[in-house]
Amino acid sequence: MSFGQDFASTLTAARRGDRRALTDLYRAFQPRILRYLLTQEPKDGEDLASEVWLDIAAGLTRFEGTESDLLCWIFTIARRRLIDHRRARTRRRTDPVSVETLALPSQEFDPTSSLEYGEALSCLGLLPPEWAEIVLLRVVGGLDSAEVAAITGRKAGTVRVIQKRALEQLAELLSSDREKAVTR
Amino acid sequence: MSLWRDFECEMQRLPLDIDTADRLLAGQVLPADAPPGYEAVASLLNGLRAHEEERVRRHENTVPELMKGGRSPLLETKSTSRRSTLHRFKLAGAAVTCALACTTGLAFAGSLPGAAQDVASSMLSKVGVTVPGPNEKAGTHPNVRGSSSPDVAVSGRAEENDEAAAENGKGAEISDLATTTELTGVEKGAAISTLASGGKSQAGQQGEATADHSAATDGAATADEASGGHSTAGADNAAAGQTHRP
Repeated sequence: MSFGQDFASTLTAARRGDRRALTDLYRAFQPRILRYLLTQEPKDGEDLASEVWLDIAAGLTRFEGTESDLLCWIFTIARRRLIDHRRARTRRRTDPVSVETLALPSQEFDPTSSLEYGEALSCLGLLPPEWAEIVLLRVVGGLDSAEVAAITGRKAGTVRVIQKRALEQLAELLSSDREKAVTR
Repeated sequence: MSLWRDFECEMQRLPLDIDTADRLLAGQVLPADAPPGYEAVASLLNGLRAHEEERVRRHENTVPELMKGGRSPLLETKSTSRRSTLHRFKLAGAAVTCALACTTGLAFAGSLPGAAQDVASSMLSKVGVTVPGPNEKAGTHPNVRGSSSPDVAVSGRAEENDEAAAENGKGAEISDLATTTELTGVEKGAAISTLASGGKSQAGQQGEATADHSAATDGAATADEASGGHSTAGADNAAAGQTHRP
């Protein structure tokens, strides 16, 4: 979803607290943020996304720029939140599970989609972490290579080369899996 | 060039160029249109892209409301003020703890000033802790506060008091002598001085005539010795009532 020429007015209205403008921003960006965070942290992705939106709300009045700039800014926040979360988890070294979670399985559980999604994620997990992050930002975040370069602090050419190698490696992994399935 | 190499090449995927990779990642290439060997990659990327749509829609109405509530700069101010208040409470707690620890330590050592030591002693005794009172180290003397060697101090002071008492008795004796003696003049002074100095004084003794030689006789004798007995100096002149002039 792109705002096009409406972006400036939407941003101005969102800064004033207009509900419709905020909903539009949320609809435009939340799917990408949530997908990006859920692929990295399946358990805490939603909480992290909420924290990202609170950060956005706190800083939206100070933001100046285009729609692409806003997307880069939002994903920079999401990325930093993710890094902070991982650091905190390393310090805490516990993985608490609530009793309610243990009692009942989630109603959203869909074995078919989970299998496909899980397979995709496991394939991405076999890539080097920097490569996987770039692929996720491109695919899940919907960012172009220049925006990914700005977020990750690399050159755009480097990002393009990395994503090409990542796709080649993914193709190799998937074909080897298929060969294994055929020989069985 | 060999046949088995040609066969191997047929099994390999076509190399992926950078632009095609870019389009695949952007979702512009359908799996059916993907280069040979990359169909599975294209479908995998599409699967990632389509996932979690439902989850996103579920929160569509709640999060903008939350954002609207937290959008104002109050959000930042609130969190900062909460943090600073918490920080202030922590500092105050630490200061109170330090002060209590220091006061209790000083109370245990008995080093607090008298009134404070008294208060600390009574307060701590209520919670079952015994600390010395304000006059704990004073010994038998109520005015003497604690010191590192109270016995030495007390004995030193006793000796000083004894000496002072002895001095007072001697003064009375001297005073009695001065008022009751029948001696007068030099003799009275000598007696008092002797008593006061414990017999060491020689006051009054210089008042007695101890020299047998007068100046005149000394001079006459000397002149006789010098002249071999011919000198008449001194006695003759004195007898004639003349004065000698050079």
